[in-house]
Amino acid sequence: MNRRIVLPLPWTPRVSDTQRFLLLSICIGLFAGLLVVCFHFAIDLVSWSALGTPIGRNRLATVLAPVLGGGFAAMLVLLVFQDAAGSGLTHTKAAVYISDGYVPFRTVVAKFVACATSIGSGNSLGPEDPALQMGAGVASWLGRAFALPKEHLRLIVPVGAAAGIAAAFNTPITAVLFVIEEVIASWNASVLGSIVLSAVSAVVVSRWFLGDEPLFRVPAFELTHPSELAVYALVGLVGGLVGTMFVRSLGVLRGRLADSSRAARLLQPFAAGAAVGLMGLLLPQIMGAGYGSVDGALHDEFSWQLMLVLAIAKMAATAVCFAAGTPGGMFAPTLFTGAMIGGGIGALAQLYWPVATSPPSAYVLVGMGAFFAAVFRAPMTSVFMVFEVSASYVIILPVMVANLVAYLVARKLSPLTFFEMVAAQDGLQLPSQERQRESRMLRVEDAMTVLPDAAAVASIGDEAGPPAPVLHPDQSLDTALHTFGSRRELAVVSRRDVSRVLGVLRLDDVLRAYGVRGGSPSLMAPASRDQPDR
Amino acid sequence: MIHRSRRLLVLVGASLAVLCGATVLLASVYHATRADRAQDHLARGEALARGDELVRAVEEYRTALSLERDSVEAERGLALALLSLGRLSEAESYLSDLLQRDPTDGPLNRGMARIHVARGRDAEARVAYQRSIYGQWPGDPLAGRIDTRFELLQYLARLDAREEVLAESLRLKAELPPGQTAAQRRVADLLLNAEAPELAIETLRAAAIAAPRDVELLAHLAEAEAATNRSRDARMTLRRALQIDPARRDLRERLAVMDRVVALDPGLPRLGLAARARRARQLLAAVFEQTRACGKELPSEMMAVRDEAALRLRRRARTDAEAADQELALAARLWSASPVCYGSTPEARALAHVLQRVEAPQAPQP
Repeated sequence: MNRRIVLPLPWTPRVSDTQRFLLLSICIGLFAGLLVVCFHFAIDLVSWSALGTPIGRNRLATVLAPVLGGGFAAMLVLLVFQDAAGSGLTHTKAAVYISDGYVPFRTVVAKFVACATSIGSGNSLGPEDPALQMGAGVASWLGRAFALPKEHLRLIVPVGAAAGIAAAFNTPITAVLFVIEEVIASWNASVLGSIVLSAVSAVVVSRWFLGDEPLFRVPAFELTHPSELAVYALVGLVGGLVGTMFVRSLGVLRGRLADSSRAARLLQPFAAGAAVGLMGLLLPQIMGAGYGSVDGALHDEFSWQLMLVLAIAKMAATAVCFAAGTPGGMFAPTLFTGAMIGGGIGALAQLYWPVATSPPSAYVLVGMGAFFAAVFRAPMTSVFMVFEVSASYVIILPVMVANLVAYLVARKLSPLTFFEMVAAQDGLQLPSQERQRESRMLRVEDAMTVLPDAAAVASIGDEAGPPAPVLHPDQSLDTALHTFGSRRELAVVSRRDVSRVLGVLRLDDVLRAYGVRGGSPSLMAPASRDQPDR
Repeated sequence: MIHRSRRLLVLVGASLAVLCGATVLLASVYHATRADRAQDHLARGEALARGDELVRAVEEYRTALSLERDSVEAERGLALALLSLGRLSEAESYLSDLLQRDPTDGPLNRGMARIHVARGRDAEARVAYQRSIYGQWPGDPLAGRIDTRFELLQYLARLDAREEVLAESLRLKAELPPGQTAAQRRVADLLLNAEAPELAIETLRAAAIAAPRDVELLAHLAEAEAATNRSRDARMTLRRALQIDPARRDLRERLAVMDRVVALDPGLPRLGLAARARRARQLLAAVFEQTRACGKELPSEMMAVRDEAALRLRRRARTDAEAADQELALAARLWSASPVCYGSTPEARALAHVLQRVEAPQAPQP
């Protein structure tokens, strides 16, 4: 990482690898931003041409467009560009953990054409996941073009992914958090800096062309009463339950459809398009990404009955499209469904508890976040996402409550997240960021031998030679292993008073804690050991 | 190696430039297409709204707004159409957004006031109406302000806020341009309801001077004068109206009533004691005649009052104030005791008019 590379142009200063990486991140952000802006334009232009405005007015187009558009897009992916099939995030993670950061550039082209066609023609899918993969693809291409070493190439892909998401949602913070939560699970400073730079660059570009308004224009409101938080918790509970059920159903359906014959798999996207088109005759709101309808829900356009019907219909349409292999993402349908669930519960709460209830727009926002948290199991991302897409800070407390409830409910009911389920079905063994977050790190205090005070002082004072390195109880065993060197034991001292020895850590104890040499893995602190003073 | 790296940088830079150029081109196509479509839908929405096809207008406005989120015209049209359709919650969300951008918009503030009224938010409604009245109005600002004041006055009248009604009515009266006789009539009604009859009559008389041949106005003035114990003035006004339009049967009937009132009313100004006493006795006799003509069976307590009246009428007439008061009171008791007997003949209406003021406070003498 400290190798100095000389740039070819005579007037350029010498830059280090880190600096080059950061500059490349900005470049990736610009590329990804422009690409996603074009993607956004392409989707709308296809939609206006294929479906007209408003969606649903031309009944023939409403039925035929998703069939033809979704069918064409799926054929493109299934027959020509197989790398572009499936979830963009899953393939991006596969690139990071399996393919050494390799994302073919043809994937970018395929995703652009296929998803613009499928989403623009009304299939119930979203643009953010394809944008993520396109950003990752651009990053991989640039990284390979600049001959980055393998370890950097792996890191550059999430940088591009963040740029794609940031430009698609117009949400830089969410993009950064999502990539860290879902792709790399690392807060390493240099990677974080690159991700932030690329996300910011991408958002600058997207705002230049698309304006700097948030994704949704939210009517002003205030929280009416603290007791409302109970209703928001209910939104979280329902979001968690429904989200889990949705992911499971989607998994079952996708698995069943994947087991069909090849001929059937080729026809499935056409059938999915037909199903969406027929549903669209009655409920045109479910077609495409559906952001216009979310805006309508925020402005109290729909009754609570219609909102709940839309939520169910959208889940059905999205499940059918995604399971059948129609290219597109799940973020937008998730936000739509969550919005309708939240809005429906909010409208009901207003009927039965009008004194202490905010307007339905508050519940629409909270519902979006809760359902997102339940489906994707990215708790920090879901909180900041709601804040960024609405530019409303008032909503932050209810969102935190509802998202937490939804996340815990979903985690309790289902071991697999949506992305883990998709990866498993695609035959990919990818690390689970949730499991990494949740797993307990082994520390020195878990493996050390606590010594009585007098004996500890005597044993350290008797050692001859240069002072040995010491450990602290809160340090990880991984850090301890790096510290051992040729030694077989190290003193563990207090941080408050480094002359006070608390215990000894032996190499054998470390190995035993990791389950080596006959010892069982110790994920809980041993009951027989005392908790040392730090 | 250096050449290769240089070439690579140039290639990447060129790719970025090409992509940027393509994006700019696509953006211009996109924005132009979007603007055209939005304008089409907006125009359709406005045409439908003018034709009172509000449901379809709402759909067009919504589509225009989804295409051009910054379109104030589309959002405004949508908000007002939703308000007209009674979809208050949704209208309120759009109106709030619009009023955040322009708090001085008169029609929008009036729309918001209507929502507050429907939701029972009195304080907010008053504030919104005032903002509307003093806000910006397109087209004819005076007409907008006047209409809004009337709306506010009706609302205040429903709330029984008499002093506010009076205050607003006076402001409205001051603002009304000459020649707006219909509006002046409405103001006079409001002033009457606010128990300010002098101001009401003053308003109507001023309007009648500006429009001396307006029969409706004269009829309204006569009504106001009759309601305020100015029976002679009311009779004269009705005669004037009939001179202009002799074919008006309703005015002729009202004149007949007024004639009888003027003949019977013992409370008319400038009557001497003897005249007053005579009229009181005539009044009692007239009421008694009405009950005698009544073919229905009367309850016993009514019969008792009637017998008392008959006894009184058989006695010699007196001309003192005490007798007059007694006969008036007896006439009023007999009248209120036997309401089943009276139809809507001019005689009955005249008697009702005179007797309703027997216990009411006397109006100031002109």
